[in-house]
Amino acid sequence: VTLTVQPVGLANGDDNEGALVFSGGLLIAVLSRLSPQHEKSEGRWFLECGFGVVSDCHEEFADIDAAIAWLTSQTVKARS
Amino acid sequence: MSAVSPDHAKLIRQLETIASLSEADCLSLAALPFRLKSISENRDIVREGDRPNESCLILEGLACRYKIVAGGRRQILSFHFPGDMPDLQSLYLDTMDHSIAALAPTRVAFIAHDALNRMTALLPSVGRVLAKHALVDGSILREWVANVGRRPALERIAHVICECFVRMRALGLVQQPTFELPLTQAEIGDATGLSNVHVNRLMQQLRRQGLIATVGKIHSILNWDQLQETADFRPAYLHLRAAIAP
Repeated sequence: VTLTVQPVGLANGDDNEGALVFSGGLLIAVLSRLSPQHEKSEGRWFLECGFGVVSDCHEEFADIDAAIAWLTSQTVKARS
Repeated sequence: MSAVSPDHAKLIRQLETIASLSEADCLSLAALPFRLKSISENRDIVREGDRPNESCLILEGLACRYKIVAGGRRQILSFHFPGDMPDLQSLYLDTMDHSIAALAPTRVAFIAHDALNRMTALLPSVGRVLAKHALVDGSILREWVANVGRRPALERIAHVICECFVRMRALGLVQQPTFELPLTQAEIGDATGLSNVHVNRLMQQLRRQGLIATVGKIHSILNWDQLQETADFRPAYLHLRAAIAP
């Protein structure tokens, strides 16, 4: 499974730096980078909205690589 | 009425928020034997699966009723303040179907079911008031189902704040317009089905809108009318007596 990431701006208050994550050309997740308003979580990445196997998930990740690794593992798990 | 301990007075005060007690009711409540215990923060007071032979009364601190679902996630089902008896149902239901935990350092009194049954057999009027307390718990639970299931996230959080404020005010635990509610964002999230990130954003939104101010655990209601409107908060479900209702 190879996921592709596309940076995107979000209409999401201070947390406006985001990324779209695609699997096979299909959107599976919208991530945001947490702004200083989140204090200790500043700079972490948050799963704002997921589709398919990650719908209803709102995980927080140390960085975008960790987010992609988790999304990849969930996608692989769903296929096996 | 004489010789009512401060701990017994908390139970009487709670029951008087929902019913009128006679002097005989108060005297028999004041004579209930208490087994006192201090519970550390985040420790269970009674656990799912337990078969208790006593019910607990919160005397100091803050407690919650909760269930753990698959994957280990916690849903908080209600908050409980000094004077509340959150597991009265264990008088009639043998096995606990949920747990009750302290969210802050909490002091509780355990009251033997035998003592409660003896009291209510001798004085059915006080039994009816205890039953009413348990029924109001059920009413609060129904409101929470509607809150978590159908209200938008901002309303949901505002509703929890309104409810805590009104219940604590009825119990004399509020210094208008300020009250201490030692809840973490994670606990508010567990009560509303929201992530920490969402709770943080929404609490900031309530502050930006000038509805509340928060310094640590101390919350101040800055615009009560607007907060109630935002929360879709209608306190009839708390069944407070007219003299106490907001």
